[in-house]
Amino acid sequence: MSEALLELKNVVKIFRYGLFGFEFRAIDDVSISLEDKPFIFTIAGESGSGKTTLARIILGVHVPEYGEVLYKGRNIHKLKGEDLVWFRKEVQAVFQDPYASFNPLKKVYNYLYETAKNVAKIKTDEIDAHIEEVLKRVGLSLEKVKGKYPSEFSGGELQRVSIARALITRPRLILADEPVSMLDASLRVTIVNLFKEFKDDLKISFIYITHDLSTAYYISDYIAIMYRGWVVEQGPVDKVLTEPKHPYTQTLLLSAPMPDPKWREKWLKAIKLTGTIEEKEFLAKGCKYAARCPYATKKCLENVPPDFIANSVKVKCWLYEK
Amino acid sequence: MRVLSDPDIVLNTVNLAGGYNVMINDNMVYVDAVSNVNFYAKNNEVLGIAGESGCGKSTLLKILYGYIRPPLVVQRGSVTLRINDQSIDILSLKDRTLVWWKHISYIPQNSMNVLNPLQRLRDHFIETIRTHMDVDKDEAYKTARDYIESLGLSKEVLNAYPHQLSGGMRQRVVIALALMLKPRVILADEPTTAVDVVVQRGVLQMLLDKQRELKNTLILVTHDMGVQAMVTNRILIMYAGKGVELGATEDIFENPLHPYTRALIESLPRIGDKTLRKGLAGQPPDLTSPPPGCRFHPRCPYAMDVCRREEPPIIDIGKERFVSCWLYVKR
Repeated sequence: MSEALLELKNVVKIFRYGLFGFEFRAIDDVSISLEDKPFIFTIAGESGSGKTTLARIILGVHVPEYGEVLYKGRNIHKLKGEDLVWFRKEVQAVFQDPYASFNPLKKVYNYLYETAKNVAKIKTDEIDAHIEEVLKRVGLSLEKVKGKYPSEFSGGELQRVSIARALITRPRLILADEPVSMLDASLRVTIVNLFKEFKDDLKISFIYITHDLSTAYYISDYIAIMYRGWVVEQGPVDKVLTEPKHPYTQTLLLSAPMPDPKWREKWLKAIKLTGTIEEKEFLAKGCKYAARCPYATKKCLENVPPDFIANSVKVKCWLYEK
Repeated sequence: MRVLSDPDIVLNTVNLAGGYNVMINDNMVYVDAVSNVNFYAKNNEVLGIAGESGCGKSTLLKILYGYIRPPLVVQRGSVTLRINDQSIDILSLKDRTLVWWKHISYIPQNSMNVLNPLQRLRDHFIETIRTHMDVDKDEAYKTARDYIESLGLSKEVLNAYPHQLSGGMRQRVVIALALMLKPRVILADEPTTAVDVVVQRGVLQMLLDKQRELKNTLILVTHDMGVQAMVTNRILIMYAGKGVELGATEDIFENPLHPYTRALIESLPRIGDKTLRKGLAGQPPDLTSPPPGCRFHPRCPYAMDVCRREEPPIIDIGKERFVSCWLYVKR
């Protein structure tokens, strides 16, 4: 096997909350290995599943309590000085709300300039040409951007600017955390199309974090489905989203409203909402999904399922025990 | 669009126009958020209102409810609600609290956050019941308890404060409140945008079950075309304050007529289909100075001269299908 670009080994992140420092594992024993060739890898899950926490760990913002994250074989949480700048150059991020990513009192151009100067270390007289080039890539131009404040852009345009900013350092990997969920549906596809294009033309890999399975299917090669800090299923997107194995993935896929009235009958089949409380699920002794799972057995309540391989997909579910 | 004599029509709007008077850089400007909207809602149906952010859907809903507070102003037009063969002109009503909740209910956006954090849920229910019925507190509590249990929620919920419940649960409680007095018309503004898809499915199913039981009218505003496809019988598509297309949900998805509707539906990726999708170029117009003619013409791939000059009429295609686009004008 060729060396992995990014490798997460049994990563655990513990958060404390409440008066008595009550602990729970926001990320629980997550292992992911991404090979060194251009890919789009989706991390999907609902709110509270830990996808943003995982993103922050990959960016080095959170330090995991156990396990390690290796980028090109180096533990990113131990990088210092020049090496850290190198990592920042290699791995860039795009966030959900473009208006929150930019300081409203600072001109947008300054962000581009500072990234080019401080992170990409481009010579001062070449900066504008470089910025013009990345803006062109996202369908904007320097002329349109220079002198403007974030509030003077529409959401879609500003998100393009933040993608252009991420491109300045010529990264190998861009981590995009819900980059289109604030945008209108007709604009979403134009943004995710850019990711596809950059993967093919610029050989940039993407980690795309989303709760929207249809755009995930549309652009990605691989997908991991998260539930309460676990990756419950991971594999090629064609397999995971068309023949889901884990009962949670199955429910998720069936519940996502599809823009096609033909699905209505299936979707309208009654679903039972349970009154389970989230923190109890994080602390469950066995499978965290057992309280909601229609197939749950005694074993599921008692023992944490390991990853089984079914249909060349990794599934964390006792149903697939050989 | 249609004469009010049809006995099935419960809510009818004619040439409705409204918007906001706001100060921008010391100038008073008018935001033309709802501009000549015509449509009707029938008994026992789910009518969806779709469109992207800033197209006027929420403003339209507020006007339908008669919830008109500055800076919102209504310029012209009428909203008629028909209850038991009696026509009620919502906009000229003096005291709307008599029709609110009883005949027409409104579930606002972010409905999970509309509950009073200092009041137990039982007090929300008791207050609502006692505003419309002459009963004492205990009686009202009993009514509330029976009602909550009939919806499959535990009566414990009534003793909880809002923060003790999850978002999905709070949303169901607000919906329960809005439906308690069996209104003929329910207006729901993005009732499930902040919850997960699994909870969303449960909440919408509850809303639909209730609508079927009461055989009333649900007007559902959502930008999510997936939800529109799963839930509604008919859809009104809005763009930049105009109603651009109205028709049966199946027909709209199968054969979208207006170029905007087509772009909206065709830009959505579907699981199992990786063919390249194209989004709409450009962005919706600034409603303080909307473009002349058809408001969609700057983004429309089929724009003709007439589109830039004149506003398109509303064309009756037949089978309750209406579209406002010059492409369908026979000349």
